[in-house]
Order: sequence, then C-alpha cells, then structure tokens
Amino acid sequence: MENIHAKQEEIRQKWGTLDDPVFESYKQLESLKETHIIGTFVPPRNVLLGPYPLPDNSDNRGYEIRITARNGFIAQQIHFLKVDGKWVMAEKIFKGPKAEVIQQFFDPQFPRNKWGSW
Amino acid sequence: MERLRLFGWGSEMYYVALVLVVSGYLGTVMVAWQSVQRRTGTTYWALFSILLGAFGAAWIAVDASRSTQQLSSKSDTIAQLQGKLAARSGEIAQSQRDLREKAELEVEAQKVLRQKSDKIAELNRLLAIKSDEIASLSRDIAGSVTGGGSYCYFGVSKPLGTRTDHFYLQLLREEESTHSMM
Repeated sequence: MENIHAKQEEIRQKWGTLDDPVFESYKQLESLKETHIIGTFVPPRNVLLGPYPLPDNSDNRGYEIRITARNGFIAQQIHFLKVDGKWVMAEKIFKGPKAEVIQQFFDPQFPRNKWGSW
Repeated sequence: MERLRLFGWGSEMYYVALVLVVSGYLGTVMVAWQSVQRRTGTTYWALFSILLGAFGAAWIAVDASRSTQQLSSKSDTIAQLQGKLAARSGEIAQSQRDLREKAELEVEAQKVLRQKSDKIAELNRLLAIKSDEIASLSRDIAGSVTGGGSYCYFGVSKPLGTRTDHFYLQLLREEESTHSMM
C-alpha cells in the first residue's frame, strides 16, 4: 500500500453528530489538524504516531482519522470517555463512499447506550 | 400340388368312373328294355327311375370333378400365397435384423455421445477452475499495485502505567475478507 495520507481531526464536542466520515469538500480536508504522509506500508514495517495527550480538565475526547490509499479510503472514529477516573475508549472503522462499518471496538466499561449504536 | 384323390387316383379318374357308372346304367336300361317288351305299368315306372338315377349320378360325378378342379386351383393359389408369405416373412425377418442392427448402432452412438458430453463437462470444469485461478492471479496482480482488498487502520494504544494522560496510534493492515466486528 503506497502513499498513505493519514489525516487526524479532532472532533471536540461534535462526536455524536459526525455520522458521515466521507470528505464533503476539499475545504473540509484542508481543515484537518494533522497530516502524515506514510508511503508504502507493508508489514513488518511499523508506523507509530503519538503520543497524543488526553485532557485533564475534561472527561470526554473524540478523534476522527482519515486514511487515503490507492484502493480506497478509511475513516476511523475514536472516542475516549473517563469512567470512574479511568479513560475507556470505543472506535469504529468505516470504508468507502457509503461509509460501511467494517470494524468496531469498545472497552467493556464504555457506556454503549450513551452513543447510540456504540 | 395337392389334389383330391379317389381310391388313390388323380381327379382325371372321375371321368373314367363316370363312364363306368353310365355303362352300368346302360346295362340296366337294356335289361329294363327287355322288360318293356312285356309292357307293364311298373316297367315304365322302373325305366323312368333308372333314367332319373343315371342323370343324378352323372350330375354328381361332373359336379365332384368340377369341385375337385376348383379345390385344386384353390390349393395352387394357397400354395402360391404360402410361397409369397414365406418370402414376405424372410423380408420381414431381414427388416427386423436391419432394425436391430440400427438400434444397436444408435445405442453405441449415444454411448459415445454421452462419453463425449462427460468429457466436455470435465473440460468445462477444469476450464472454470483455470478461469478462477486466472481471476485470482489477476486480483493478486492488481492487489500488488493498488493494495487489493486490504485496508489500514490505526490501533489505539491506551494509556498505561502512571502516564494515563496520553495514547499512541499504531498503523495496522488487514485483509477485507478477514475483518471482524469486535
């Protein structure tokens, strides 16, 4: 897989409203906070990004990651939540223009009913 | 040719028998004529009965001879028909043999045709397998350029130990057909 552009966007308080992971316009792409050009990714190559801080003054933080490749693009939503003083997380991975959910994960302590289908 | 026989003779002997009967009656008439010389009424009646009997005997003899000839003619016709029937039977038997041979040839042809069909089906199956292999190789070739059905995503390394205020992202690759809903 070549020329992977990993885009990360902080969602802030709009986590629950960003259902469509597809870029709507180039302007939206430009608004992304952080961009990485990774290049050809073939295991056992390892790509590690971070560290990314979690806020001390909030118990809620969301991110959206966009991965663009030759054979399509992936959107990944990550949500952190502080439960009983510990950060727990949930994530969903979408693929293609129809944003089909192809993978999802959540910690057992993550309150799923709070986020709809999570 | 089978003919009706009288005492072991052929039908021609009926005429001889007729002549003998007529001779017998002629002798009887001559005897009767001597009686006529005496001129009694019974004599005339006897003469009339003798003539009537001679006429009946001759009639029967002629009729029997004619019937024998007709029967002989019928026998000839029957024999001819039997001959024709035998010839026809031979032809029918030959036709049946021909039909049987044709049926056997047809069965053999169908057997060969079935074998050919099986062979064609087997070749089609092999062709389908090869086509699948070619399609798979084509997908692999395309996949080696474009990435195929694989995709990348970031695995989240959750806060560990004392530094619980940050996380890392690790790029992972997965084939589309093996992804699972966790």
